[in-house]
Amino acid sequence: MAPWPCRFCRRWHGVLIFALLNPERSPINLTADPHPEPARTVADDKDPIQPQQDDADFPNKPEPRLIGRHGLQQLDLLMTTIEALDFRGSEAMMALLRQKNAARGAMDQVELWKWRTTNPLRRTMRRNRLKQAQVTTMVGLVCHMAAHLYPVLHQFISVREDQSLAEARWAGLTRRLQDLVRQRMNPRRAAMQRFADDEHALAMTKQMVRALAFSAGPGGEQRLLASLQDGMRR
Amino acid sequence: MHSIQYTLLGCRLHLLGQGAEDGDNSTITELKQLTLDLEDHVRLTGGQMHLEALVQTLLPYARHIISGQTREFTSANGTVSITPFHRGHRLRFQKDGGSREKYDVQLDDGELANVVRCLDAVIHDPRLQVDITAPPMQGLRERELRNRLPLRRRLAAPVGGLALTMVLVGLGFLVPVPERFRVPDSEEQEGDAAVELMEEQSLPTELDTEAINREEGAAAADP
Repeated sequence: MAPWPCRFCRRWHGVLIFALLNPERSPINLTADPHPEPARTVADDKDPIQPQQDDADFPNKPEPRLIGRHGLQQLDLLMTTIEALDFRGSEAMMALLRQKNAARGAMDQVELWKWRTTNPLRRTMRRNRLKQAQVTTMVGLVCHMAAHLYPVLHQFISVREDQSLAEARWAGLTRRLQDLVRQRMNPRRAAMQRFADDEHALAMTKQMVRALAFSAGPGGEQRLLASLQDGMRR
Repeated sequence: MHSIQYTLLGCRLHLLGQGAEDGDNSTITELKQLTLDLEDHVRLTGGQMHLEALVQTLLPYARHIISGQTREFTSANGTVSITPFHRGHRLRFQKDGGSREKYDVQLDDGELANVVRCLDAVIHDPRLQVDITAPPMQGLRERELRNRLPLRRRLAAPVGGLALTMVLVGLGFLVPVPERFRVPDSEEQEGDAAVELMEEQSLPTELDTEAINREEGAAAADP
């Protein structure tokens, strides 16, 4: 029995009937998968289902937000506190970042500044969203710097220190932090206006120093990241 | 017996247990005893259960300190508990050897941070091959962050909204009703009369049974 074209529409319906009646002689293999997977080649060594490294740089790929607005503010404020604690803090952070990202490529101060300007309280604010890798890099940077400054942080938070000396130390740190905040943050923001009040600024400085002390070291990264995600869970 | 020691600014955590010797490094696979010395004024001793309880309570507590929301944490077996106390923290640690007595230790932020860092080191140390993992950390829910905002600011929005609604409703009552919707007085009176009439008509009338009987009697008398 040979296949024939349809007498009305001139299509080859008969091919299908022929294939159904004579499966072994048919040119169409009905038992085979209609959409077979293409055979792997030597050049095609990537698994298309698994996310690839190249996909990470795809510009329009939506990425879930790792930290919210409050988290960005806190992260930038923690970095500013590190700079207030250590005059060479920004250079140390930059050196550490270069060391960490040496394999990936050049990482300059402007790039770090761009990341930090996602803080909505900044004078010059950028509205772009930080990638998850950038957030984790910044969190790691803060924790590493906190571990580096841990003896200083411990002096601040320990109550066994001389009271008058501790108060003088807190006052100096608060003043330095207020100066840095005044230089960088938007003074029209209510949060920054409250920071001009010495009592509020001292309380904020104490909270920042405590946060740094308890997030120091490699184990602190998970704790700090979780605290930056506060309020994002319903 | 093999030992591993973690020291940080006056805090010393000493672990003793059975394990293997691998060159200079000794690994512990079965923890027998832990000793925690805090600034040379407290010494806590316990076993693996105590180390697990310390990890399960102190690390989440430290995570809450970073968020500025301290609250009490107690381990599942009740061995260790920690709570905020004045300007510091109060750690209750059950004594080793099955007794119900507890060490009651007051720690400041510095001492607690030292202990937390030592516990971090224990968790990340490949030499300690004991099944102890840090509890998972997540961001706090909104309802857990209530204390972050003062009561006045939290109440401002709902109270303001309610007051505004009441003012708008009050103003609505003050606005006069438009003329075209008002019913004239004459129509009202006519309407009342019509209702009265309908009520009269709908009243049940009493049957004059005597007259009916009389008529029926007269009809029966006529041949």
